[in-house]
Amino acid sequence: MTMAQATVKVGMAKMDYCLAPHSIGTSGLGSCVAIVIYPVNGAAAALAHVMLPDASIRRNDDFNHAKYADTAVPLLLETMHRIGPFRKGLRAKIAGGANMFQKRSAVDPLMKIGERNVDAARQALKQANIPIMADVTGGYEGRSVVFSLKDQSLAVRTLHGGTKFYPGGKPPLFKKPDIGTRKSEDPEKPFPTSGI
Amino acid sequence: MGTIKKEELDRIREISNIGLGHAATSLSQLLDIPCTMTVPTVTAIGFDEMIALAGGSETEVAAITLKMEGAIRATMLLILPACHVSAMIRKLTGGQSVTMEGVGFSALREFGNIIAGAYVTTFADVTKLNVHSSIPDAVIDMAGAAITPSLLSLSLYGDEVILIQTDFNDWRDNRPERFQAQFYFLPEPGSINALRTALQGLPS
Repeated sequence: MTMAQATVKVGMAKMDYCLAPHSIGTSGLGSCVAIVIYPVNGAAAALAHVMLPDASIRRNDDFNHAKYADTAVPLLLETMHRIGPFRKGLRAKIAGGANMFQKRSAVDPLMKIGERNVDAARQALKQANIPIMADVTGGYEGRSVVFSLKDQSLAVRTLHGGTKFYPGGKPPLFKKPDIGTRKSEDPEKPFPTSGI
Repeated sequence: MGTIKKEELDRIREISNIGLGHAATSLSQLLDIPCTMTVPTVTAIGFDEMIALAGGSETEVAAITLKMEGAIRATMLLILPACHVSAMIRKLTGGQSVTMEGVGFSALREFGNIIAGAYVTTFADVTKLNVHSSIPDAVIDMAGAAITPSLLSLSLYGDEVILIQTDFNDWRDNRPERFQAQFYFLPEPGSINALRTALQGLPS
């Protein structure tokens, strides 16, 4: 018997989770970044749609943890921890952080926020010791993503480039040097490559 | 930032009515087809509603963004249906596609320049404030991706924007073709007080 698959939709500056065999996704990522965290056994996944790199820049008291990369990662971890004892075997996939307005971003540093969001997401995941299995970031196009717990693949859709899949993959065997915004072009070969 | 008062919205509506009226006239001259518009509605809405109005976060839209600079700093964002913009750009450039870089995109930016330029000129005339507009930038992509970058500085303080919505009717082939334009006026938080003072000084 097959179970119908449903996709949990996560809004801007929001966080949610799904359980196997379902999917979780978010759409219309520009400079925003989607951070997905899931355990190796693929029992659950949590996704945050972050808008800004770091909560210290906020100016009001209305503190939404899912809105900032540095606070979203601990929130995702807490969510996963409440679902089950996954803390040790967690993996992450991230997508988004495009530079939508190239002319404006040359004069307005806030428009370059995509890059900063990606850096902050990577940094927060590194601090939490969660390896990034797919890093589909940068560029100039908006993206929609769906992470499926059936095969732990991240489907990334752009309006002009169609949908590409970034499947499971093993974590890197040893620490690799920082290779910036490079991403896997070949969907069969997920980022980062095996490291050997 | 505090919520925006009804009287303030009414005054912004007056300015918008004149400003966008001038914009429609300029567009008619440029496209060489009559272009009319309805009286704009002005409301304060949340970010999520903004994306929903554009047709949902994955809908393809054209977004043109400019800054108002000077005595009041604000972001102006014009959202148009992508299919309509493509047709208009082809008309403007004599058949150039808007998806390609270069002429098509310059035309799209110019289109934003005309609308926002007319708006800023009227704004300066009415409020007697020294304001001007920056160079425009444009993108055609998913609504969510195209809209959010303009909201970031605002999102540090609150989550409400001023929407000025109007229907443009472009009379191609002697019949009106209606399309909806969403024009957002997003004053920077530091300029809210200056804007309030300027609006209060206007005769109602």
